[in-house]
Amino acid sequence: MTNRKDFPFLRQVILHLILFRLFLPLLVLGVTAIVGVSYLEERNLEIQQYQIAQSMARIVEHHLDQGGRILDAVAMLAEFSRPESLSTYMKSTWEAYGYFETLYYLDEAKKVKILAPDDSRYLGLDMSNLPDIQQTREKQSLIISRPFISLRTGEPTVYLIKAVAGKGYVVGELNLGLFQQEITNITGRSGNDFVFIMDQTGTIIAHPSPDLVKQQINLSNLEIFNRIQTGKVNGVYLYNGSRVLGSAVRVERTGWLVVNQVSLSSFFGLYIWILVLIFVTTSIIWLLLMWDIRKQLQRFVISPLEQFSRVTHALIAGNFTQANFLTAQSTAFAELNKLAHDFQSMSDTLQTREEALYKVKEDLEVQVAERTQELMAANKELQMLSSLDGLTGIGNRRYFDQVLTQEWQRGIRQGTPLALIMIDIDFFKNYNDSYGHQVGDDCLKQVASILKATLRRSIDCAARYGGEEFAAVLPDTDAAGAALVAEEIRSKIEGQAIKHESSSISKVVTVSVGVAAVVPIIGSQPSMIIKLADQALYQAKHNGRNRVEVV
Amino acid sequence: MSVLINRRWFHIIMVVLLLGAFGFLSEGCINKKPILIGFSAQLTGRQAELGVQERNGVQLAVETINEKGGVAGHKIDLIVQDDLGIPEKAKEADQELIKAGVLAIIGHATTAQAVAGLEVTDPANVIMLSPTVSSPKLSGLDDYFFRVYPSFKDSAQAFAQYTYQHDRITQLAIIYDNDNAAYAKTYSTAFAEKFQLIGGKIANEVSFSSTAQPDFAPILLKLRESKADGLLIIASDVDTALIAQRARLMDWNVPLYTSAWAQTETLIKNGGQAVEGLKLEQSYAMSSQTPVFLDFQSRYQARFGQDPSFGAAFGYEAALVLAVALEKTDGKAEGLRKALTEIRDFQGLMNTFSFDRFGDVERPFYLSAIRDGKFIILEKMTLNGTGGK
Repeated sequence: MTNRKDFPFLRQVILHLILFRLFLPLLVLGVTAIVGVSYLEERNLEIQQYQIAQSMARIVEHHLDQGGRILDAVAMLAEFSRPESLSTYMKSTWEAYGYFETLYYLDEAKKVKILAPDDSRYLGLDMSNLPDIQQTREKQSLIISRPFISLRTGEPTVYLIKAVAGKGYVVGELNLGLFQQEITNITGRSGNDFVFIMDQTGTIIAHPSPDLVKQQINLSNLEIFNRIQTGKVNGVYLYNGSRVLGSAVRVERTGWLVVNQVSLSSFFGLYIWILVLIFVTTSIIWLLLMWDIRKQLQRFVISPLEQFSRVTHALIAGNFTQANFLTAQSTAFAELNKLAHDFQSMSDTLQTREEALYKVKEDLEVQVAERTQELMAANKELQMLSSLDGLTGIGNRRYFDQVLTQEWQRGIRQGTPLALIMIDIDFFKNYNDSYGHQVGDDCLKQVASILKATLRRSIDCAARYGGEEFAAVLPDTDAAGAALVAEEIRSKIEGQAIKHESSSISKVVTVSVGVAAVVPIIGSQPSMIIKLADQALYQAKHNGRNRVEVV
Repeated sequence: MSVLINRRWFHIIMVVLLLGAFGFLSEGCINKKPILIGFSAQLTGRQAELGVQERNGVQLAVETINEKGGVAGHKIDLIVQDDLGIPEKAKEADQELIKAGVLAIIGHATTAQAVAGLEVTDPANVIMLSPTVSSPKLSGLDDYFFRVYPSFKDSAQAFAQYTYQHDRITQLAIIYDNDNAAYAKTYSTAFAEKFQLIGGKIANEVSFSSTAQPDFAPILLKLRESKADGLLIIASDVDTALIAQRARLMDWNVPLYTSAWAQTETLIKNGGQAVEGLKLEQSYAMSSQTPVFLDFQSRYQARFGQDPSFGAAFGYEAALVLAVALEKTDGKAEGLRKALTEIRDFQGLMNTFSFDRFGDVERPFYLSAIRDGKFIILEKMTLNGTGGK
């Protein structure tokens, strides 16, 4: 039991193994895979974004080219035809293409000579201060002005300006809504892309929110704007408080910047959701797995093992009744099953042996008991034998001494009188001589028998005192009582009428009886009463035998 | 048991995963709540240039302040509304800003919109701090209206004095935009009163509605017929440009005067040669050489790719002075009005100024002109001391 702290439980071991060797590695693998895929997707996205920005830039160039061609045609006409036909042509061009918001023809002094659509309010206006118009003379190619709010329409506009050799300028007022349209198209197509165009100063030319264009918002503080100056085309930066991935392409002709950006959170959001989903599902799977493994382990391994442990403890305690439980238990795998069977047979073997041992032990115990009983019986016999007179079967001298001493002590304790009767067969020597020892012994037996029979109380004790002398101890008896008993004994023996030819006083066997009775006191010896009884016996002999004398 | 990885490792892995997740989620939530400041002016349409310039100036100031750590530890979030140059829309815009929870509104650019907006902001006890509104109609009112641009009460009179005494204009024609009557009509009246007081004559005064985009030719013909020897245009940049152009187209080469309202690049761009020599009075010391101003000019140029105009400069100042007051109130709206009125000798871009208890400022004003496609300062004016060369 003390090892519990040092050794983990099987459940922990297995769960740790599964967690660290299987579950977490798989999870890490999954997460790494997703991160890898999202990284590749991000690279892909950058390329895609860049391509979309590029195509947008090409669209812008294309529009400017087209504007340039229209202006070229108008300029050509302006150079070689009369103003009236130019006016007509401009009007029809303006109507046919619908490309420019307004078409102007400026004279050398940059004053409006003709405009389409016709609007007298603007005829003759001096446009010399309009952005970028001053430099037009030097370059013969198309000039594209910086964006500004059109005086005529109030809309965000750029001018496309073309010099007419020696005859002024043709100017097309291009509404930036054109690019707005393209941006809406491209944004609507892909959904993810957020495309806008800035001019070389960062002012927005086209944007998914058209208001920003009208409000002339300047985004030169965007990181991508600065990055492209250093030659980089991609970047991650903050836009409106959220992190975006942007690609930028420069429109070579104007220096404008087409930016295509994707919100990182919306892009990575998907992957983060996948990650969260993986974490949640793996957590659920892990919990279920743990729960199930615990249950299965408990059922098929731990419970049987604990049962083993209990049964083993029972075995140690000698209880074999639980052992067969093991094989009855369901186990999930062969090893445990085999172990259960081995254990079962071990238990069975042990049980057989134990039972055999037990039987041997039981037999031994019976034998021992028998012997003990015999021994005890023998002992009792021996004890009896040692206190009985061999011939007469009543108490012997040793027994007499023992009883007398006992009763003497009792008398002292209780203050009760104790009586002793001494009996002597008259002329027994003669009897023996006359009839032989065999008959003498019979006589002794008869006297003893009468004596024994006469003493009716169980506490009274009869004994052979020695030779032809007998004694009786009568506890709690005074002299008078004892004399009655003595007289009964004498008369019964005489009454027996055992023939005694050689007796001087009678034809039959008689006895002389001496009776003494005292209340023993502390310090006195039992020998004292023997002496008194002897004296009484002597008195009886002296007084003619076959009589009772009391002291 | 070598298979067992220490239980501590398990905890460490879990903690790292959790921290990673939380770190990702809480990105951007760590900063203090930003202070919301509103901006409201006309940003779209033909007359938007002044508002756009002011917006840019405010934006540059806010970006500068945020770069330096914001106000009282909070970053400033600028919420921009477009009032479209329409009084009703101005009210709506301000209502939106108040609903969004702005502590103060910087705006509007023009008087008519400011007057309309005040109907919303004053009852809500929200500060309106205008960069450029200069009508004296809003002076001396104990309200929540503040401005960093001085009232034209004095400057218009000084300007009148100048045109009469220096330029020898005796018969002045006036044309003003009635859509911003609170400014334009008031200006016209202030100017005319002084002009007449010192001996001049108002040959004619006409008004027009800029939203109608009228043809100015017939109006100007009428004015020319009144034998005026000077024309005062009180209108926005585009309308001033168009009127000037139209006057020159009619070969009416009369000296032109205008108010500070028209003072944007748009006026020059659209005015062409017609606005050359046009004179105006205004408070923007564009030729200032103070380091603060030069720094502002270069940063504005770098940020927006063009030179700042007067709207940008006063917008920038308005945002700066508001930030100083907010710093005093620890970024709260409570006490902001008091904090603003207590501001004394604030170092603006060109000079120092102080709010009086009505939220108005006294600042120097200058006689300016357009020369070679640029605004220049001719001289500093005072009401009674103006006297030409």
